[in-house]
Amino acid sequence: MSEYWNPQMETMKKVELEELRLKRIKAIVNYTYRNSQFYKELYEDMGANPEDVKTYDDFRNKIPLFRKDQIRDKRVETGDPFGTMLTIPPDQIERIHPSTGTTGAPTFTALTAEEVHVASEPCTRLAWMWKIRPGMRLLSAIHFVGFWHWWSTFLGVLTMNKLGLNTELIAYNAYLHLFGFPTARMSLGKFRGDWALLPPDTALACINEFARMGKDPKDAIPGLKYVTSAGEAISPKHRRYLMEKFGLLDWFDAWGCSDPFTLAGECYVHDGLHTCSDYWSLELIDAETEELLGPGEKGEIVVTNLWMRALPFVRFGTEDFGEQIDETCKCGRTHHRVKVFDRASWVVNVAGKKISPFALRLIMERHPETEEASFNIIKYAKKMDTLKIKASYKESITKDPEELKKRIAGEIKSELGVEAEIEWVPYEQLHKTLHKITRMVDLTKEG
Amino acid sequence: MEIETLYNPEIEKMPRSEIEKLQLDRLKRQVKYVLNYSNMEREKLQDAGIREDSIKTLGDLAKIPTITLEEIRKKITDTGDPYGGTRCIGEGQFCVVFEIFDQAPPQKDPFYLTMTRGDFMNAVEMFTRYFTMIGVRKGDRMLIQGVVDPTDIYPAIINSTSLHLAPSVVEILGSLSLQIGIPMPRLLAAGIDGAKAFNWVKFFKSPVLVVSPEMVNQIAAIAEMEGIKAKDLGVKIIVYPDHKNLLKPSKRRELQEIWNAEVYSMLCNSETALHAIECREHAGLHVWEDLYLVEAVDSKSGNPVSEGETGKLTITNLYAQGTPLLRYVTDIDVKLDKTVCKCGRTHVRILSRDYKEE
Repeated sequence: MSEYWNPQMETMKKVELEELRLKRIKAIVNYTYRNSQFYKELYEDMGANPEDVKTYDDFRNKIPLFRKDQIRDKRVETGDPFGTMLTIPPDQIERIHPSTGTTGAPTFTALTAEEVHVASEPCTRLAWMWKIRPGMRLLSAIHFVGFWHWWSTFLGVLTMNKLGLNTELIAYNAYLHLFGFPTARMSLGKFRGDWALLPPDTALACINEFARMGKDPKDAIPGLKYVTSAGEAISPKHRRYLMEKFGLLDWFDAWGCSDPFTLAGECYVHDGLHTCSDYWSLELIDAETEELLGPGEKGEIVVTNLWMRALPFVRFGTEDFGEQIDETCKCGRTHHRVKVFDRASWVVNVAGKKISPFALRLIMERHPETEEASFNIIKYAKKMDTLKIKASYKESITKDPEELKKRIAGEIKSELGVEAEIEWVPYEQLHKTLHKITRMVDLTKEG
Repeated sequence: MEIETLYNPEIEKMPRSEIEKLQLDRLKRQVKYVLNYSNMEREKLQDAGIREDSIKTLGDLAKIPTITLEEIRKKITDTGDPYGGTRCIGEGQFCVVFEIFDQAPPQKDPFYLTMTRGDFMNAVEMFTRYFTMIGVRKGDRMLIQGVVDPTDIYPAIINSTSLHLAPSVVEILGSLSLQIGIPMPRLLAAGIDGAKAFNWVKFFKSPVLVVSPEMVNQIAAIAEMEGIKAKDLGVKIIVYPDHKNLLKPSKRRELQEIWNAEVYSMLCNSETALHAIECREHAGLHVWEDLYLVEAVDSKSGNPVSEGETGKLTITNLYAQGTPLLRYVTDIDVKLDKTVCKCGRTHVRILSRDYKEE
């Protein structure tokens, strides 16, 4: 079978793709200016006129970007749940997805019935890229199946329908391991699934638990071939470790941003995450100065959704920190790729250098004593002189914790160029947000 | 003007004799179906000497052996088949499988409910009739528990839009569903979810709440903390789900007082996908008898109790193709009332054991 779901679009010539993207950018800018009060005000406040957008550079230079907080502010100001962004009467909305935010005031994605169908196309491209084929048995945590922002459309049977009517979807209850419920008793091992959507923390919980039971994960979850994971960027070493443990053919990393309904995922080459440039336009900016960045540089990812009309997103700052790749991938897809490392707000400033948790993780991972790189970065001030880290180590394989501390600090000094101060704590005492290790603990915000 | 509350009048007001004729036809079909495809049910039926032609009247239902979750769990352990031999459709067929646990956090192995497209269509029909009955209207916003709790499947049925298995209840009604919740079982995320739900209700002025009882209480509590009366949130209809107990009239009056809204008790059984909701008369929970055959049985003998007596609610699913169960015994004590309801619906109603006419 072909590598591509939609070869014509996915391997479209770069020039044509850029042309198409620009055409759609102009259309969405005009549309938002004419139909959405939020954007009209935003553009006019900044002195931007949609008529001035003739080239891609015009678009980046003239159209202002905005972030989530601006929607929230507008919402408080007007009392409109959509912050006056909506371009259609509310009764035409077919569904609303809440964002992942747990801050009490959620933001939303609103889709009309037509848009759900439009969304199924890029979703199916990614599914195909992740080796999902007709007749496969898919395992997924249940909240991804029905309700939770873009995954639900991705796994929604709409996508499955496109792939063939003999697909079976098994919805298991993830997160039960947080209650001490053995993951091994969940559907994972029972159904010989071909593909699974597995949060990395559930995967690790499984491995630990199987180890306790004296079982090999390969035998405990037989037949599993491919896994897609999202939530945390996966390093090559971590991927190899997980693939080997589960005996997989491949492990794909995915990234998504719920508000502008944006998706990206790895292909078998594992060199960045593919987006669909005819559906989303991605660019990079410096998170602090809002300076425009080009390929090869690292910064905050800014998304323009090119197909959503009900609740459009034009130049939306995702607060995710990453890198953009413009070259054609080895797999033949010409669309842009991104590498997503961390939340932009997790990047700390140490002695004038920007340190991202992902860069630190690559170092920590080289030392198997650190429990799969379990650490927190402690941000005790806006500008810090030394990098403060809380981490835990495995007692069984660590001979001298003090020596290990020195070894890691030395590598941080030589590779990241900053002094590091490591404090050993038991794994249980590391900061976690519900289930994930909090990579950056911000003490400057408290109080 | 009288608001139309009948979605499918022909079925909902069908005379009892016709309902029973329809049930007999469907029961015969289900028996034939499970004899052909369900390992678990075939074994049980054959042991009891039941063949395809054994069911001649509805009275013959009592000949069919009852089945319990314990039996299915035992079968799962004995055979290693995660479905315990209850699944009737083969591999490579289009379906969705739900993992259902006894409680959160779970104590026992899960039951796997398989739903085909047809199963979904029927379940959607069931809920569309209910929601029309309790007065959900076009344009109404419904706040629905978005997290599938390890024990609940009703959000998946009401919101089948996400699954595209069937036209969803909200699509048919022309209402808009608001799905709340982060991907966490409700116990863990209780505080967070309550705040979120409160915001949704406030923002969208959602007149219908279909959320867990805990959530209903939390929204009211948070509203109070914010200095808003629950009454002023504009909620008109609250559906109050439970797995075992029916809402007590005193509790209902208390909730109605707090919210100034109509409160409807809902009984959920995930293994058979049976859901029962009260009508405006609050005289028992309606069950659609064209879709389910319910009995109150004596838990020792497995025989139906005489009319008006209390017994364990026993459910026969008359449409399921995925994992159909015949005479599935639950742990819920009920009385059944087959008289015509004041609302005009002829279908059977489930009453709690201590039900008294108000």
